[in-house]
Amino acid sequence: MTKIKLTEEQKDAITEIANIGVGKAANSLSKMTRKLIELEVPYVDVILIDEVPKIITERYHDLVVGVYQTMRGDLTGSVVLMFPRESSTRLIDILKGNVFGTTDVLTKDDHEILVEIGNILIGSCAGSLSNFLGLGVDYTIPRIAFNVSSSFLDFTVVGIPQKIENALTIYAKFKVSDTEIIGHLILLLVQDSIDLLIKRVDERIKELE
Amino acid sequence: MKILVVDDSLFQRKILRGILEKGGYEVAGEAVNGREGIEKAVEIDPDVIIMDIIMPDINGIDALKKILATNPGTRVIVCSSDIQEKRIKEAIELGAVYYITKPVDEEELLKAIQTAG
Repeated sequence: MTKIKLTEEQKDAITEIANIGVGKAANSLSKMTRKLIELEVPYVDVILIDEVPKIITERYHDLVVGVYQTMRGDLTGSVVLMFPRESSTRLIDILKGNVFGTTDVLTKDDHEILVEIGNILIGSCAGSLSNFLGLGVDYTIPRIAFNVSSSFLDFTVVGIPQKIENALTIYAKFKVSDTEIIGHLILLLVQDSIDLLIKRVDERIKELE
Repeated sequence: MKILVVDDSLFQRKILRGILEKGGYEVAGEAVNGREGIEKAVEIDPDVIIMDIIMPDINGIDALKKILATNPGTRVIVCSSDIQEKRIKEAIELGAVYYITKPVDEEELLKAIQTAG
């Protein structure tokens, strides 16, 4: 497997583009919750796909909820938005106007809410990347999965003929009413897509020189 | 006109600098977070500050408050990816003269500088 190491300049550029997406997503959430969302600078990196399960188990000790969509076009692969369980139940509480801690077991209605939020967050962040870099992407309908694992990640890219070695990860943390919500967006991309994304980022950086 | 650009992203600072220089303006200084923005505001005494919101250490809202408390004559233009209406309202109520959302529209920024100046 070929490990891609982003330069600091590339990481900074992608972070800034992702920031725009996170901002759009927060705005949508703010409208849904009628609350001000406090944002932090997202953390961006490209990692080997084999390292993703490690992130899931080390960082998120509890059950992880995943909303995912397959992508085809200039960015081919899948995009997965992971929420640690606590963040998913907090989101439901915020949207339903409940006291935090009310939601414990997610109902079918809650699943649909999370899919919709996932759709908004994925659309905003991945959309921001594709818009800014002039990339065309078609998405499948978003779906939800629980207990996200490495086999689940493999499942999200079923039907994509090229092998996937790398993942672009965007880690975003935000606060609603002083309560922390964490979302981890992972784009599993075929090599051609990663190469194109980085090429476009480099072109944008060069335009500024 | 002295302009100070405050944004944690080098990429974004370059974008802003490019637009400003194209518009015939000179960037008198840059800062990478709110804390440095506050320090540079004292050092440079800019006419206009272009301020990001989401930054590590001190964020743009807190920096805006501090800067305007010390020098109420400074015109602060917020330039942020945070496009929430509540945030925009907050910044304007705190004294920002303009709120521009990212990705920055060149014409909009230059118009804001012209108005602020």
